[in-house]
Amino acid sequence: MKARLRLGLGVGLGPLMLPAAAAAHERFVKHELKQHLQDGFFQQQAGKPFGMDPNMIQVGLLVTLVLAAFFVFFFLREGLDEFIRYKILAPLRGAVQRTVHNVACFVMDKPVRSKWFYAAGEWSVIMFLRSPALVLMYSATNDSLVMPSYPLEPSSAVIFKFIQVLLAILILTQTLLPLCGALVIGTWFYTFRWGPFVAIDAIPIVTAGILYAMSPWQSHKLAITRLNAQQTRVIRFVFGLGFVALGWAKIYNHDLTVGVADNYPWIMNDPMVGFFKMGTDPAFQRETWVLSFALAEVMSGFMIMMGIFTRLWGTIMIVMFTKLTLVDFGWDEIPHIYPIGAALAVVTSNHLHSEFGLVEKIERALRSDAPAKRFTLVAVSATVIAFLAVMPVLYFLTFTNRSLLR
Amino acid sequence: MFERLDKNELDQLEALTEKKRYPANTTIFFQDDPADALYILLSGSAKVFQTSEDGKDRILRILKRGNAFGELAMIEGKSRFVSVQTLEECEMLRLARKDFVAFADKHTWVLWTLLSAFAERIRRKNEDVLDLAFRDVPYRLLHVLSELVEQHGESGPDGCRITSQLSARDLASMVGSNSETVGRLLDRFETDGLLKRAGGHWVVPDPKALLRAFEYTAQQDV
Repeated sequence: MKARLRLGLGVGLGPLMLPAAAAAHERFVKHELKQHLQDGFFQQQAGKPFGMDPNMIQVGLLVTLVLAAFFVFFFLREGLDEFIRYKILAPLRGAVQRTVHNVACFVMDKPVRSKWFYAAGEWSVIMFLRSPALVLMYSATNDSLVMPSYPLEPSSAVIFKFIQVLLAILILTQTLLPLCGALVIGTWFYTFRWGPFVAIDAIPIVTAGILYAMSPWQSHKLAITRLNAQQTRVIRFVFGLGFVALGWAKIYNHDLTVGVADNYPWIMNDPMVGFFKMGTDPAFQRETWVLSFALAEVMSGFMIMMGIFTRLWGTIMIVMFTKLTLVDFGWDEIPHIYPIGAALAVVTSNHLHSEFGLVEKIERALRSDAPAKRFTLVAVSATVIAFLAVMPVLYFLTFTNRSLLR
Repeated sequence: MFERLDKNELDQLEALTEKKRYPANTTIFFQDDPADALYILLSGSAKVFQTSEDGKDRILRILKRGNAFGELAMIEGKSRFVSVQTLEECEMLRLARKDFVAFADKHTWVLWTLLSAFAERIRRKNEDVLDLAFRDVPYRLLHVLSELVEQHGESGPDGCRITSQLSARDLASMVGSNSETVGRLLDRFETDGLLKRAGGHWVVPDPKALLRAFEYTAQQDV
C-alpha cells in the first residue's frame, strides 16, 4: 500500500505545482453577519475561573457529561445487550425476533447479518466511491476547485477544469484509483494554501481519497463493494476527526458560524443544541448557541472517531447532512454528498470496533467478580476521556488570536 | 456429558440450571451474541446454523433430546459463532458459564467428556469440508438424509419418519446448495420411491434402499 501511495502521490501532486490555481476560499452558503458577537465571550476574562466565561464552562461541562454518559452506556452495552436478549427478544419468535435482533445489532455496532443490510452496504460503498465524481463535475462547470466553494482563478481555470473532469472519469470508471486517491489527497494538502480552516472544511473529501489510495491499481477489473476492517477504521477515524476539527473551527471562526445562522435562522432550532445551552445567560444567547452548536459537532465527531455507537451517530449525520443539502441550503451544499457517502459506508459496515478495546477488555474481566471495581473503572474512564476531549481545547481556544480571520 | 453423575451430583447440577420452554421457531441465541451459558435439550428439536454476512443460512446440525449445545463458545468465552433455533416446542436446561466453571472445577471428568465431544465435532467438520470440496449435491443430500434417518428417524408402518420438520430450504442449507437444486433432487428421490412427504415430515419408506442409493452415489462420485 505504501509503495502504491508513494507512486500515486508523486504523480498526483504534479499538477498542483501549477501557480495560482484557485482563488481564496469563499463559502457559497450565505454568511453575512447581521449583528456582531461579543468577542470577549470567547476569550480570556480576568477574574473568572480559568479565565473562561462561566456560561462557556457550563456548556462545556454539560457536553462533557453527555459525552461521558454515552461512553458509560457504550462500555456497559453488554448488559444492555443481555436485557435485549432475555427481556425483549425472548418472547418473540420467527422473522419478528430476527428483525428486532438485527435492529439491536445495528444500534450496538454488532454485525448485522441480513441480505438487505448487505445490499445496502454494497450500494453505499459504490455510492461513496463514485460520488466525488459528481461534485468534481459540478465544480468544473462552476469554475471551482474540487468543491464549488473554491473558485478557480481565470488564468488556470481551464487546466484545472480538465484535470477535474479527467479525475471524475477515472473515478466513475474505477480506473487507477490509487492515482485518484493521490490527486484527492494532494488537492486537500493544496487547500492549506488558504490556511488550515479551508483544509479542515475539506477533510471529508480525504475519506474518499483514502479509500482510493487503499485500492489496487487494477481497480477497473474489480467490483469494489465492501470495506475491509482496516479501511472502515481509517475512514471512520478521518470522518470523525473532520467533524471534531470543524466543531473547533466553528468556535474559533464564530463570526462565520453565526453569519450562516443570521441568514438561515431556522438552523438555530436544533433540540440537541437547545439542550446544551439550556440555563445559560440570555445576554449571551447567540454566543452560547455558537458554542453549543460547535460542541455538538465535536461530540458527535469524537464518538464516530473513537467508534462509540458509530452507527447511531453516523445515521444522525446522514439525516442532518441530507436535510442541510435538500432543505436548508440547497444545491450549493452538494459537497455534503462526501460525508453522506462516507457515513453510509461506515454505518453499513460490519467491521465496527471502538478505539477503547483495553477499557472494554478490563471491564469484561471484572464483570462477574468485581462489580464495584467495574463500575468505577467505567465511570472514571468515561469521565476522563470526555473531559479531555472537550475542556482542554475549549480552554486553549480562549487564548487564541483571531486576527488571522480579520 | 453428564452421564457419569450420581444422584447427588445430578441434584447439585439441577439446582444450578434453569429449565426453560421455548415455542417452535424461536431463536435461543444468535451468532455474535456473548456466549454466557450452555444448554441441554430435554425435549423437541432445534437447528444449529451459521449466517453469512449477506444473510444466507447454513444448517450445521439438528439437535435432538439429550444434546448439549453452546458449550464450545461458552468455554472460549467469546461471542457465539452459530445461532440455534427451535424446530418445534422445546424444553431446555440452561447452565450459566460461571456455574459451569464452578461445577467443572469439582468434577474435572466433565472437561474430558467435553474434550471428547469437541474431538468428535472436529472430525465431523473435517468430513463436511471434504464433502463440500469433493462431492456433488446428490451425494451430500443423500448423506444428510441418511444421517437424519439414523439420528432422528422413527420407525412406523409407512417407513422411517424423520421427526424434525425440515423444509427443502432447510435441507438445501444443510448441504450447502440452493433450494431449487435440492427441490429438484427431492422430487427425483420421491419419484424413485426413496422419499415421501407426510404431514410436514419426510418419510423414508425403505431406509436400506436410501443407504444403498447413498453408497452407490458415493462409488460413482469418487
